[in-house]
Amino acid sequence: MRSVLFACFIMLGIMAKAQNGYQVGDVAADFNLKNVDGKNVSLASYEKAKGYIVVFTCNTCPVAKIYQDRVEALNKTYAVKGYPVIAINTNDPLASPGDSFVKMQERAKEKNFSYAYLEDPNHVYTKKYGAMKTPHVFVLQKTAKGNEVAYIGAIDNDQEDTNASKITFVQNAINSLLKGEKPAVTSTKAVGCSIKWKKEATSK
Amino acid sequence: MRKIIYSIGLLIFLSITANAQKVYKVGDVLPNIALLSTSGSVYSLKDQKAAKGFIVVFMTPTCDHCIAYEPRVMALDKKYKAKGFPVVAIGPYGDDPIKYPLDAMPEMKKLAQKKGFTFPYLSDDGFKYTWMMNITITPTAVVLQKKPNGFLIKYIGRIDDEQDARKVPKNKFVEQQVNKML
Amino acid sequence: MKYLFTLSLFFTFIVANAQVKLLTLNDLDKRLAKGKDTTYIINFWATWCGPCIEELPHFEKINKEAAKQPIKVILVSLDFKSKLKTAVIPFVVKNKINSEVYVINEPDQQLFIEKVDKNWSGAIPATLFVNTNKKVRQFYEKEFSYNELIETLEKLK
Repeated sequence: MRSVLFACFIMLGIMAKAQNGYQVGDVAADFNLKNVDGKNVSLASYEKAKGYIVVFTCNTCPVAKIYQDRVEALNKTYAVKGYPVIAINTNDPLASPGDSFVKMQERAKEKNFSYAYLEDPNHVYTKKYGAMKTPHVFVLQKTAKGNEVAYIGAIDNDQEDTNASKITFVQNAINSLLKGEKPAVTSTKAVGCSIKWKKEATSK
Repeated sequence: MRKIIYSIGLLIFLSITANAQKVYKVGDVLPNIALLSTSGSVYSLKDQKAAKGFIVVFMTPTCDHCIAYEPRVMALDKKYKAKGFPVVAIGPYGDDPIKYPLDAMPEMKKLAQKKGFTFPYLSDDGFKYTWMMNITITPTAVVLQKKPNGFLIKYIGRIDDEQDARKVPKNKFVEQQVNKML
Repeated sequence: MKYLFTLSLFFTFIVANAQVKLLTLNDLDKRLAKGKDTTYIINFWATWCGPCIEELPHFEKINKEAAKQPIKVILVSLDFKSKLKTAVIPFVVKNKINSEVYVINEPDQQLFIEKVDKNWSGAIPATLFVNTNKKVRQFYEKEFSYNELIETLEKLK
């Protein structure tokens, strides 16, 4: 009896983790997703990288849009230091036509993205990582274990970019990692629109 | 003279691009639907001379609710094809098997064969009709009535109000719409 | 006829303008503390949140039906402050929203989410039920159907 209960708890724990995605310290899976230029991109594509700034984002969410320039700035600052930005859009074209692959290509061209903008059409990696909103950031660090999750959450604590003394979570985390230190803040709440999953008709 | 030609050209251009992005609602007339079927040939609504209208159902092979509704979709075809309103199913993700390995044509073909679909199962083309009728969830039904200039959209929505196949729906929306036209 | 229509639209706009203001959490707390025996239903939403918009009619219905009871719906939008006039007010006018609407006025998203509820992931829709006299403060990070709203209110009685 006790062993059955114990097994149940383990199962719940595994399921809960599977549902919630990565936590800080987990080793992140690599992906092989199509970029707006038509070529496939994976973490391994960046041989010289010390880590990655994986940003689950999209075309349509106002919060994701207001952070676009800041995401571009992160790539400009940190790609040369070994931490490139990789943006991933998983929004379903039915639930969100403005996020189709063609629209992604248009946005990347219009805003002259300097980073890869990939599609995750069946939500496979989005679910693995546990991204729930856009934008939702996962900072990874290459360690002996693999690509370890070092920070999860928001880019900063100032959506509307009006506060000079904003806390820049992602920048702070990477600056620490570059110094060989652990980030002081390893997770914050991702604020933004829910991801537009493939939707099914309900009778609600 | 040149101004007139330019204006006409602009007007034509605008109407074409406008049509490409137009969203069709209940009350609008759809010119046609012509898409590749799992049978390997193109199925066009305009070519179906016997039909008085159609019950179009946007559905995928993998969505749980689509699977739950398959028997009801087959029942609709059985009930209404002979009365002039056959079912035509459309898979929104049909044309990209690399991107959507579980929902594209190869899997649609397998499903149609396995379940013995009596109706055509068409693959949309770059989400053309999916976006045209603002289909955001699956399964969604579109009831069409044949008119001289195309197909009048009578209804866009759920098939009925009960997703649990074991229970009896209070409202069979598609049936109500089709019955009105019989 | 057209004149009357324009006039009524203008009037609705004025009313909506008066109705939708910025709100700090401190202001909200003060408001909640004042209505001692009132049950406040504070719904967190945004014009860009599809599920939020779908459930707004349920909250509007409750607000209308409970007009003579000590129950008050307060809709708090997480839209950007800069979108108050360009997005929130037009939305309220177009959808003829009757409940009180505010746009959250907090500079730090992490802090205000934490303050509303420690367990809130920041996802919307989310609804907070508060009754000061009954010492009730219940937070739900979920969508509400009309029936679920009624059930929750019943349990609070």
